[in-house]
Amino acid sequence: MRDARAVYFATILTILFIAVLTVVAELSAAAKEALKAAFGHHWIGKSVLAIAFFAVVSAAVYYTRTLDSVIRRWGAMKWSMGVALATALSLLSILAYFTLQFLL
Amino acid sequence: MSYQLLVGAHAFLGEAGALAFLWVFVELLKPDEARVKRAKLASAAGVLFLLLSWLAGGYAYTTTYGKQVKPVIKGGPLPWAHEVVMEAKEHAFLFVPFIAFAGAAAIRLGGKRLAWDAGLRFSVLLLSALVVLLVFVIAGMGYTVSTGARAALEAGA
Repeated sequence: MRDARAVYFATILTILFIAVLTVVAELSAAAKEALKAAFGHHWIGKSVLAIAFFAVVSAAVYYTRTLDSVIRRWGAMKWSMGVALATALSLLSILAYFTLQFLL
Repeated sequence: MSYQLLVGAHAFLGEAGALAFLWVFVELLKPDEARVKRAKLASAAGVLFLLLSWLAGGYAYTTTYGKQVKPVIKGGPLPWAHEVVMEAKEHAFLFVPFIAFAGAAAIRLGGKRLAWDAGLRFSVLLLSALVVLLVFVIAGMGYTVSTGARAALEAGA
């Protein structure tokens, strides 16, 4: 679907992917070590995986008809609000996780 | 390159990226053909600045911060400046280039449509405002981390 909505959709999934990857790597020492072993540093691993995830999802929804029926349900305005909501939820989740980890 | 210079470049490029998206926001309040053209240019510059900020900050973080700055902050009076603020900042920063790219892509794909498609225009205005807001929140977090390091040094950590 060659439309801004496809890029917004990929952005929402990528932001959620980063938040989940961050918490999983904190909860699982093995996951953090695997990122470090593969990329030299866990943060570089998260950065590279986020770029790869965004590229694959964007290409899949932009150049093919994959998920067209889902993406067409909303206009650009609603999808951009989804980006803002995903950002707020992900930021608050990460902040809450590290705050609890520090306090407990 | 020194750590201080890299951190300065990271902050400067991030702020430049935010200003570029503030420019996009202003151009698209009442877009016409010339304003959309300028918004395309500003958003491309914004994405570039944010990518360079990512590289400068990432290099400083992975080569020096963990070995030299993090232990100092953790041993000082404000350990949460690293444990909470820096941990959140280093991950929240990763959201910004993708949101900026989405905004820039929407301007390029939308083109002249931005002048009459209110929904598309609103979406780009919202993403531009989100980039500006996030960058300033992240800059505030960076200031807090610096304060944590300074407080630790003053306390002799």
